Amino acid sequence: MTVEAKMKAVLDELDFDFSQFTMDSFVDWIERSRGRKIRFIHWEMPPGMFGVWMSDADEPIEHVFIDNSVPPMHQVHIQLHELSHILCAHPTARLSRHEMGALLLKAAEDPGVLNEVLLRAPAKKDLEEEAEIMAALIQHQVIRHERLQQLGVAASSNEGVIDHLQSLGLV
Amino acid sequence: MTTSEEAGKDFAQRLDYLFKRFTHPDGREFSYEEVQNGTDKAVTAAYIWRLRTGKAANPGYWVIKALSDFFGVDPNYFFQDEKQAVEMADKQARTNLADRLQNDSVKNIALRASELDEAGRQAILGMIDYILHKKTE
Repeated sequence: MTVEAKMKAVLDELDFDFSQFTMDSFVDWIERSRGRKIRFIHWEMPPGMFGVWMSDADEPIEHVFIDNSVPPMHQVHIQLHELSHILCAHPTARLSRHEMGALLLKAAEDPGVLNEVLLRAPAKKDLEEEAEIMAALIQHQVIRHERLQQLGVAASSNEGVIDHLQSLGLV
Repeated sequence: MTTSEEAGKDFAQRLDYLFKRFTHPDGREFSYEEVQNGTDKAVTAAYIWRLRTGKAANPGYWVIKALSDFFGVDPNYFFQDEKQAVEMADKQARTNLADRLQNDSVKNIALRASELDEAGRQAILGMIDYILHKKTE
């Protein structure tokens, strides 16, 4: 099975009605299907870092950090990309509060601990490719159902984004 | 029973500190039954409870050895002064954490960058700090 077919199967199984798409309803649907809350936090990221997903071992919460310095539509793409990781049940760090506290303590005296401990990720390239393809499939569905404006709404409460999209002829 | 967070100087406080410092991955303390089983019944659950609460004192060498082995500290932990004892325990606890995270099947934070530079590290630590200290609604 190609990656596209595999991702399409995952999305089909989610059984979400894209004709009713809003970012909120989509996230809500995923939360209910996975039994986990998804919390988006806009964050000032260093160059080259766009999204970070950490899973909470104590509470049923996925913490998703999104770069707030890129244009709003790019933020939406990052949001869909990270949601795709969650949809695909990709591996990520699942840390308890206790472990987080211990990690902060250890990192204070040994800054290399994050590299050593957390980032030995095998086959990351494949996971990233899957998430990108899934994000693209979601966007196709949104466009097909003429719900693109909803992505603009999700991108920002700022009216300027909608104006911008309209000026580009997208909505 | 002592409620001190410190390692104290008597055996009960030292043992109490180990229970608090070395826990299950989710932060739960080990039960006395778990320690009993983990020491191949060299120490009974009832005796551990008595030692920790100070109702029994001066355990024998093999009991000290079994408890030290269970928590992964050197038996000398029980005989150092308090500062050194805390250092020994904390060092071991950090090593355990590193091992556990390394062996964990879910070990990689989903990052776009394969290697973190200093800015990336600071960002990740900032995020962990945020999760720890911001109340979830």
